Amino acid sequence: MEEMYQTYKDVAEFRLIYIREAHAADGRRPVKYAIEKGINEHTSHADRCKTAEILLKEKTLNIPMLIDELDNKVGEAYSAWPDRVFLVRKDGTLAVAADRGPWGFKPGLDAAEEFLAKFKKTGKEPDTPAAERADSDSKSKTPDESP
Amino acid sequence: MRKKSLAVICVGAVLVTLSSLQAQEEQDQKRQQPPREKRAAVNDNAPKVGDKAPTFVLKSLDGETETDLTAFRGDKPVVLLFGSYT
Repeated sequence: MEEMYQTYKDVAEFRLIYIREAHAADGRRPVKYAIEKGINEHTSHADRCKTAEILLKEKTLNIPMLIDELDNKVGEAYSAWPDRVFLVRKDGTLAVAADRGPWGFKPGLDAAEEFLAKFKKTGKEPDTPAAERADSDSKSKTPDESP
Repeated sequence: MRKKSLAVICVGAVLVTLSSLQAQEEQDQKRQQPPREKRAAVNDNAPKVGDKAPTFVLKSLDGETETDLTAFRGDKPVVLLFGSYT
């Protein structure tokens, strides 16, 4: 993630948007390190900022960070929890809209990197492959199987 | 009598084989399905490729700078990485 930022920050804007914890110590599926570090669901904006600072420090990230409000409005608008990658074209439409969660994150980064590599080389935003558009359309037509 | 027994054994063997094949097929289908969370993720209401990105205005970590997504339009592509520490 940081490597991609360093490689393409001259041709694209990057924003890391800090949203609600995925596995807070007091959440439904806590992870061990959240319990050890006492990272709970955020109860205030300051609380969220404090945890975001820990992330930047520990992972040595230089990507500009924005903090979602406590009402999680932006995270919800993008259905981004627990994590997700998007790439917005210059005209404001989405060129990459990865799947949510750990299964989608890496493929999302790869898709964004592919787009940016072509953009950096040619100066033109690549078209979205027809297969990807079709895939995206079919996802919206699939009946809901959520738990 | 002997022929009858042989026929019963043969039918039994066929039934066992069929049942085993069916169980194997079910297992293969399960293996091919993405995890439950993945299936849920595929069918959420997130904006899709080609959609307009939802606009927003958010503050930076220091609380000083506000970023408006629309401010970038026409300038550079924008990579949005959503996540948290955990």
